[in-house]
Amino acid sequence: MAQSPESNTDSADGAYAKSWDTLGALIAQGKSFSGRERNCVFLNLGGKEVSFACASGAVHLDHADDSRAVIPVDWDGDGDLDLWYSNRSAPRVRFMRNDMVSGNAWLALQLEGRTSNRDAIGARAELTLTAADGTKRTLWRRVKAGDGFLSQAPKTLHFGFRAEEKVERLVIRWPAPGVDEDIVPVPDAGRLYKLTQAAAAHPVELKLLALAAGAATLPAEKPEVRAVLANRLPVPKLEYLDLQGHVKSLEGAQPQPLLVLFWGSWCPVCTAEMHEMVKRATELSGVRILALAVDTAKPEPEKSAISDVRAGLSGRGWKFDAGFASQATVRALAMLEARALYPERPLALPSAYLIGTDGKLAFIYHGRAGVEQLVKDAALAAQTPADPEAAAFPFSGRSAKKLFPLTVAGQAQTLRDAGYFVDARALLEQSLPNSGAGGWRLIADLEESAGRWDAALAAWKKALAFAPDDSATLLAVSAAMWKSGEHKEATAHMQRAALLNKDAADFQNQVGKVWQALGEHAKARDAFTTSLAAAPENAEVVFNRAVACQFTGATAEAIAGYESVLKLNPQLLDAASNLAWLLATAKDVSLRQPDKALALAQQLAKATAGQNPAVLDNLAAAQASTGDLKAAAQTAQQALALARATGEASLLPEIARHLEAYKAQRPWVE
Amino acid sequence: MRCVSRLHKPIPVRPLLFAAGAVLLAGCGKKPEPGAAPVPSPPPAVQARPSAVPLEDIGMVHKEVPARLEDHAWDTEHLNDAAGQQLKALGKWLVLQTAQSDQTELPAVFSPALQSTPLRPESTTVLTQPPLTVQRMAGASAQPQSVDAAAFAGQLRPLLTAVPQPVEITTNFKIFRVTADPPETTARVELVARSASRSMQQIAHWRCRWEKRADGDPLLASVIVESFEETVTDTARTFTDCTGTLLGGDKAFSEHLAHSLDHWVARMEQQYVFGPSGWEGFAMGDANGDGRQDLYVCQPGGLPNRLLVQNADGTLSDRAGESGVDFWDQTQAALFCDWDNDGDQDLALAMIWGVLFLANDGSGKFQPAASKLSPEGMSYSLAAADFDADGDLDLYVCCYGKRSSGVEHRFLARPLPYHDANNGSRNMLLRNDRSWRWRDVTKSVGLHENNQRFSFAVAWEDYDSDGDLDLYVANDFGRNNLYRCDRTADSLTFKDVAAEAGVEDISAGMSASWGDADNDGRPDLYVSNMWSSAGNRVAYQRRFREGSGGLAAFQRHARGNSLFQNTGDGTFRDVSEPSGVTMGRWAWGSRFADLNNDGWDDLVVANGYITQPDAADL
Repeated sequence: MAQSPESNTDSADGAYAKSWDTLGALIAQGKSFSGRERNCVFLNLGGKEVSFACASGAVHLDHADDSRAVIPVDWDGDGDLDLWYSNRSAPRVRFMRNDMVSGNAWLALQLEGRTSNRDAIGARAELTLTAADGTKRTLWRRVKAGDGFLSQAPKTLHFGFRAEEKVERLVIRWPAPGVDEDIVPVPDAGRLYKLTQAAAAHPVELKLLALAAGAATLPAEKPEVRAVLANRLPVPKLEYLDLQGHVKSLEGAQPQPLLVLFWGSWCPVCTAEMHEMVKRATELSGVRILALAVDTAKPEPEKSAISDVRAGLSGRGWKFDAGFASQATVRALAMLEARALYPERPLALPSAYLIGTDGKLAFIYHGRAGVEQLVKDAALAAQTPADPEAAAFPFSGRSAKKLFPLTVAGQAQTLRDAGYFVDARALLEQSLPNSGAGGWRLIADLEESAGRWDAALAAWKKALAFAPDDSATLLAVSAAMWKSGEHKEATAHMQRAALLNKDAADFQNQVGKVWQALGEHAKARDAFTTSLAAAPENAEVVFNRAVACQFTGATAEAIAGYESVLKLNPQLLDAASNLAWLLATAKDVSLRQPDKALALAQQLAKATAGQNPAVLDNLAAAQASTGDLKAAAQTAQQALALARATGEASLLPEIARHLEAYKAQRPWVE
Repeated sequence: MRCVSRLHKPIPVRPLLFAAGAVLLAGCGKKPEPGAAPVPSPPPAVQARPSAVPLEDIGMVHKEVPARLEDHAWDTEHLNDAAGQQLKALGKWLVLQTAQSDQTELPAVFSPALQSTPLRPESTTVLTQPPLTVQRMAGASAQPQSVDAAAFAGQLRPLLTAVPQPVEITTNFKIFRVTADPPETTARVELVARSASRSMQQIAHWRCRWEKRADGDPLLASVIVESFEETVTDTARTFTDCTGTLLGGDKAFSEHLAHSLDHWVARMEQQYVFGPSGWEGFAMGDANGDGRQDLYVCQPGGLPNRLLVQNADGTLSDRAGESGVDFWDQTQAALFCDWDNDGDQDLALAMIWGVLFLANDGSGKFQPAASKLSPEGMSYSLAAADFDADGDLDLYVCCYGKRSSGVEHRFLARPLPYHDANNGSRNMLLRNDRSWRWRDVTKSVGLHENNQRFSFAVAWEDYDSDGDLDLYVANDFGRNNLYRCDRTADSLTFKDVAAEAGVEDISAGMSASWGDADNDGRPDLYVSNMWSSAGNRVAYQRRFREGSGGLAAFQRHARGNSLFQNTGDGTFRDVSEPSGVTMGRWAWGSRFADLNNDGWDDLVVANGYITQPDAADL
């Protein structure tokens, strides 16, 4: 886990935010997080010094339930507080009856306000007790509505005390200011009273409930999953191999609901499921079934797998479509599943995906789905339910506010993030112009990533029409304009963005980044400088400015910048890396600090476990600057090998040039 | 039987954070690549999961992500792991040895030079109240004496003296302090034993010195028992689970609530079910006016909230549908209150988008009467009070996280900085203006001060006994608020006095409860936090954040629950540690409640974050 930044901005590499993501991913993958913890009870030992004993296990209140909230209440009317727990785990509510009390006395009150609020919330009851030896004490309780965590205990006030203590006085301080009431005659112990403001107290008949002991029977958790999607997801083009090894593809609307079934020839549950499908094929006439063997989807498919699958299918009398899943087939459906469902688990076999006639994923199954269920679901998948949520949710209910349908932009984002640019674009185009600014922004982004600058600019402008006051969109438009040579308009848009954005420091940082992306480093530097004038301690901006200085040849300033970044956040590897490079290779000899460069580069290499080619290239330069050209050449060789292995081809020519210099007994100079 | 076989193959990892918000990175070394800076991108992608997962191992670097300049390995964590294993072996031996009559072989964890104080030190009885007896170590730790392994082991069995024939034993060693030089650990040693007629809980702190070995686990060289406490009940019946009796006959339970949240998370769209955290609470009140308490159980989105109505025999039946309250909206909390003073219990529900008020027709049928969108975040705990003493109830709403827009429920905010986050969302005080009109008066009464946090819980109380109700708000990732109400004949304002009152409690606040721990008539305060053994170990080392000034804050973050004793002069004394109430683990709801009717408030703590089948804990 990355450390939290000390200020209210994340480190420039977003490490802190990433660590949250990592944590979330681990939980989605099924890890526990402070799990199996047992609930606690602390017993008040009484007396002058506040002291409690931990008694959880001794009193059987130590369930490992991932409990959330707790409510004390005398449920069975025997004069002591029982406990309700709400839990994350099963059962989601648990009731624990108090059988522990013996010999002590009690008194309970229900208050009702008149001039005070009717519930008497805020009223304080003070109960004065006298012990046999004449010592007195006053206990108090306040009527509350909501405390603890996400919970409300009943408004009944419960007092416990020693049997030898006599109730001497009961005062109610009603929430209406200055209204205190002495309750006369004082109530007896062992009863529940209803007290209405300025009226006589009267006891409430309490029914003693004889509750049988009995924990809940919990249903066995089955591994089979059937998920019904209210937000059906457009399925991108699905490619697979047919049994002859020809590439086939599926796309868009289907004449019948389509069940894509992933199975493995070695998987007995798959066999059972498919056997049942064959046996009851007539019932399944309303659905097209495509069984895709995943045997060949392994990174290195075994040759025997294909013949195994063919033999397996004919042996089973398989009457439906069949073929082989490629990694891309699995990935496409897994990507949709990842959007729909929270858990991130390895693919279970069998898994099946039921796609509606509209070409959208409607049901997901892991483990056996069962023919009966499939027949029912296929009928649903052939139509679009009038109320998709009611059709998808497991129990009846109602919505107070419209729930959160997945927007087209959201769906497109899912496709785009998984690399399905064409599908994302097609989906957005279909729904335009209804997808609003978000949709156009996505399109613009798609176009930019494809290098189609004019199309991107057009899309940004459309986005801007939907959100004319969004400074981020204005900035994006101005960047795209600049790229297209419309410098004047770009400047105008940027000025408008500045007017709309109140946080000058943040805005100028954004502007600087735009210039940097456009290769206008002097302008970038000015913007970062302005940002820092407003908020000098921002490590990210200091870093950005140092980068701009480096680009514009202001090496001394760049060095100073990186040094101050590292003071603000010593964990910014990129600052350290750039600094090491400059200290080793600065053209101006007076700026070079070979020893410091070497120390930094070594730390970096250690921090990245020697697995980063750019860092090793840095280290080589530092070694060379100290005169150790032999070591430099060795390190550069390692960097080259590593860059090849990790596929960072863009680094190769550069490192190779550096290596040549070291071999020629020359350190590298920028 | 293997029902579902698993295939290990690459599956695309869900994109978690879109490049936006990420910052210009020039790549490691060299001249930065032109074009490396992202053009201001489309708005950040919605988070695929809740981000509000509090980190436990604050300050620690994940072993697989070596991403810091300084040497990332905490040697002490290795010692912790190894020493923890050794202690665990000892605990396992004790359990086995008790369960089986034949001698199990003693684990080889002892140094030949072993020294120890008595494991069961001289104790005095500090509470006798049938069926409970509590004993505690008397005086300071003894001087350790040389013992051999057999003699040491011989002291373990007698720890169970109070429960002669246990049918259930659990041991748990949690190391919460560790130093590398000298190699020393302090562990919380917990022992629970139960038999047909008795139960016992024992808590001790063992300071252990370890003998390092080049080629193996460290050996136990010395044990000093620093504290010892034993709670025994001489009856088998203390608290009895009757959940099945009360709920087993209802389908809402057997088909829905009897399943863990994980069951539903695996089967329902994350668009609705708000992740696996289980931040759904419940409320008790008399929904139908029959004099019996009913229970409203909040549920994640897509699953209906349940109204469990109490029958004459104490059992419960779900009546949410016919009562008009079976909402699918993700709901965190509920309150039964008579908002319109007509003598029945209405409802307020803290939903993902804000608060829904429902009017009761007197028979337990509810109709939506008003709603209030929360300003930025999801609404969490609710607490009502008549703060302006005009005879009707007003409502304070905690908000947590941040919505991206409208009613979308994804979080975008990450708490920053972790130990004092002030980038959360605004809470609100809704004033009841009668006829179901609610007015957000947060700002006009001064509650906007310090109001940008991750608020989980709230509780009203008149802590300064001046006749008006003050407000305590527990915030995750940082300091809490104590808003003192200053009411005069013609003005009313709140002022955050948490710092001067000594109740900032900078930590991961999750719950707030007022009671009277010392029976002096003045309200004391109990706040849930996280007790993190990992956080304790790391945060208490000198190396941790040396010179950065955050040390104390991080130590506090791992300390656990807090008990603040009201001194009567407007300030509180932090008695958490001396009173022995910090170790509530990863605590959520906690409350004062007099469980044994002795007139002294005890404390009940609900805890544990996420338990999944994979036992490896993060």
